[in-house]
Amino acid sequence: MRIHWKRIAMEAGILAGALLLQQTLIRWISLGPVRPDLTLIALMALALRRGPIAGLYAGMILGLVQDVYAVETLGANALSNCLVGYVLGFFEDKVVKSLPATRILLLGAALILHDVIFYLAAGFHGGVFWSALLRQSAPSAVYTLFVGGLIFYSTLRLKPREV
Amino acid sequence: MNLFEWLRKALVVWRGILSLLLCVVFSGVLLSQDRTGRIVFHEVMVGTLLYPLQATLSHFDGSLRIYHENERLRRENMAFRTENDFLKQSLRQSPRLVEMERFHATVSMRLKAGEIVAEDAGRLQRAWVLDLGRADSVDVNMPVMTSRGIVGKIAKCFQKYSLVQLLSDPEFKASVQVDRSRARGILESHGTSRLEVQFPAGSDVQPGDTLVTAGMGGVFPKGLRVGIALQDVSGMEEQNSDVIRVFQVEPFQSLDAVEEVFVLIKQDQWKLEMAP
Repeated sequence: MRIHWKRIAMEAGILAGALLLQQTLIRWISLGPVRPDLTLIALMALALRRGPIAGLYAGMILGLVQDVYAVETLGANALSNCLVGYVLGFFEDKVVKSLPATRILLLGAALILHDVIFYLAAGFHGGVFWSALLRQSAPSAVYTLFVGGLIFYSTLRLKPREV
Repeated sequence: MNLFEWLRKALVVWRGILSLLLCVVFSGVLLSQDRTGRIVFHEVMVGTLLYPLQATLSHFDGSLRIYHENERLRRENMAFRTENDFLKQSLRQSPRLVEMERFHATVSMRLKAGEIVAEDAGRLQRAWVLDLGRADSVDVNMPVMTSRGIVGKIAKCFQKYSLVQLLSDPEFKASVQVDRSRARGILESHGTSRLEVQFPAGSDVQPGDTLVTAGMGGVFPKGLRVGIALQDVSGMEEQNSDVIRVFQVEPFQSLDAVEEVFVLIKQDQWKLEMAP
């Protein structure tokens, strides 16, 4: 099996760039505590292009890096990201491309799935869970959908997944 | 089929499920860690894998911060420099203003203080533009002076500004007299900074005498300080040297260093009265 190092390096670079932006420059476009999740946008782009296994491991790595800075919820980001990446990988890019709005809907669903898994894994239950979901996740999801929409329709042009 | 063959096929067929299980189990292990285990994981990750990334981020963030701080300091520096220049200017201006105020208070005449806003652009310093005009009750032929002495007169007057004809203008003439002996003469200029006074032969004039306006001609009231008579240069003038004595004059107010002046608002029937 031929390994496409250039392609892997490019995709790793996109993920690393998203992580860098998320850790540094994201505060410039934050609206108070509401900030877009660029890593999830990058993860979705990669999973749609490379499939569930690549999405799974990419999500795992991204989650682990995020977990390093969240000692109290260690493992929650890794679990939520890897599951989201795995699920997103089942949606073939051809199908998504045939109807561009689908990509935005998919991103919205991925955001909800990610946050639900994260909060449950982090031990949020009952009122705290719903409060976090409505007050933190919902505004961030809207903002992320807006930023994701801009990225998808203007700059990021992904090729169909290679079969 | 041996065990290794079975595992290889299982990995190929079920690699997705196995990968998922592996990741979920790994995440579960991390989630099940107690606080000590989490801190160990954090220290290992930060101390090894993420250190280069973190150092790069810190460097980038630091550079950005220094850039913004530099911009802020540059703006502050510019503001402080401007303020410093302004304060220096005020400091230099202050003694002059104090002197002018004292002069204004001791003279009973009606004086209007003004600022010189422009000078004659020609080679000869003949005129100034003053920021006082008809709106300030200033009119043509009003004397212009400083606390040290006269510098000229209003030659043209407009609504908001006026032109001052200076002592150094060759067209300027004024009647002066020696304060000590009351000998009268005519003050004039030869287009240079040098002023001269022509006295009739036999006038009692000596170098060092103070010259004041004589009150003749209707422009300058009597007694305004003009300058000091220097040397007698009559011998240098070949013509009329036997009937005219010419003295060089050093004006009390040098025209090169004036920024504010007074205009004497003359009345129709004026009389110079010095306050006690």
